[in-house]
Amino acid sequence: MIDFVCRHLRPAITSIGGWRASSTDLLTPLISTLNLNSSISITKSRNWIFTPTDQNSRSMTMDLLAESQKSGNIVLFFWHVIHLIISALYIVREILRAIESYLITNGYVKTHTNLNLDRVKYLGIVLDSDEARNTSQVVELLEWLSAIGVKKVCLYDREGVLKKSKEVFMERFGYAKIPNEKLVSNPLLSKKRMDFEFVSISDGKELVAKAANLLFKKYYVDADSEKPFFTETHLTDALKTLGAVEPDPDLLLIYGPVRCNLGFSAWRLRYTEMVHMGPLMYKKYGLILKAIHRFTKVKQNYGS
Amino acid sequence: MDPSSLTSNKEGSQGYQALYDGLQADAMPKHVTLFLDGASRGQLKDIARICCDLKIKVLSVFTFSSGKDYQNLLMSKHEEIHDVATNIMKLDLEDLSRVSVIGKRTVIPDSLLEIIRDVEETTKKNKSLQIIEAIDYTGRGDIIQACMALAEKVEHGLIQPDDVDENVFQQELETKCSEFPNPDLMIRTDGKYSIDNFMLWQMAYAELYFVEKDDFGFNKTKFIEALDAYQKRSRRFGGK
Repeated sequence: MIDFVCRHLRPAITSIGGWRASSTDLLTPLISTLNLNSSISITKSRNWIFTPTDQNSRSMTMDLLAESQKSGNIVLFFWHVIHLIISALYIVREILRAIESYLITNGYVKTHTNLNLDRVKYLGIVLDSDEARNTSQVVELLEWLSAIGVKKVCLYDREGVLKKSKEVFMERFGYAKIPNEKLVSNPLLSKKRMDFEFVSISDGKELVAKAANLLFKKYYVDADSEKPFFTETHLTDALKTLGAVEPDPDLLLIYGPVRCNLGFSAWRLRYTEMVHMGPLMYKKYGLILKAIHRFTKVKQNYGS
Repeated sequence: MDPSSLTSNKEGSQGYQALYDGLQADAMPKHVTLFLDGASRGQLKDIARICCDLKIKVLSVFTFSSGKDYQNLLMSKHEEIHDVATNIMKLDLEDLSRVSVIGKRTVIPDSLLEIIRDVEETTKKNKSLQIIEAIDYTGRGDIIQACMALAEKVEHGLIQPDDVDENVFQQELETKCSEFPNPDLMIRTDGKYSIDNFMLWQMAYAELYFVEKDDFGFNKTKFIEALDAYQKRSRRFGGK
């Protein structure tokens, strides 16, 4: 936090001592008020070049130059102060979110205790690939989801890191097998059980292009075959043939520094609600409850 | 930051100078997608003006309404595209915006189609801002029509099925009318957190900015706030 504050304070301090100009609008009315014969031009490096054309006003223009330099710095200083205040407000907001999560987690906020999980049939988790490498954090997240009662989860990261680690998750949350391959009827394990789908960038746009290829080869290469007008059903069936059999996620929780879906399968995001949860290492149980609760309360029009 | 380096229209932008302070010209999104509810529709002109000032190249607009049946929805869209088209032509900008319309034109009456073609033709040479208006457009529908366009090429032997990849697909989408087809920033103004089947393919790496609905509605100040929030986030487009 201290480093964050200093990063924003440093430009403000620098602007006091350094030469930084603000805007033409600041200088032009000042010059016209003093009725000086002069011109202002801007170099490529955005420094001001002030060229007095009247020799008599040269000393006055030098004073003016110093004044405008000071006033430009003052304006910039105040901008950085405002920026610092807003940044501080963001810090306060994060603190409040942490408090909110604590209150929700410990049951002080009653509205989030009874979730209508029937509305969240399929939950999607998008992870930044760097963060997905932190398996312990991912396992903890899945344990929280399991405790909430989520049964079907789609895990996505762009590079397929989660796909490579899927045995870890399947062992922890899927069916447990003993050496003679009997399924364990441990009630604790069955309560924790979740169904997983692991997807990556190859299941997104690349898969749609492959599905299109499948349709072209089936209907359009052979000159004698019937050539239908493609519909969504055609493409959906082609995607299923290629292994994309799972439904569209109802809710997508995005963990990472960037608020975008990182290339998650475009075909499956029609009416999916997306919530950015912040970096995975700062995940909070209460905020997951809040996101799911909010989703269950939203009226879905599904395009109507 | 010198705001005058951002602006291209000195007269129109003076009122917005204070709003532009703090924005970085080199971190401006090239393409912004705006989900506008009916109440915020009136702000479109101001937002288009800001986009021109800040050298944002493309503004795509998706307007949704609530509770209307399909015919009424289509009629209201007709009025909206007519209003947007004529309002844009009356904007006091040095370079008028270029208007493009995407969506299924088969359901639009001929009289309105004529207006759309006229506006597109009249504004096609304008360079400062392209406004993409979506009428009866869906993301999945766009992907399907790209499939059909490629299927015809396969049928005529212009392309082999195995040559079709993401890049070839992208070039057949309706946003091929734009130099910057993929949104960098998506702003939704009605408090919902989904993209509602809009530009599904194109928004793979778009920053998603959802605005909570309030009594004041979405306005130019909130638009600038969205741009400021966009510039603060690090974007890697899926890379490292």
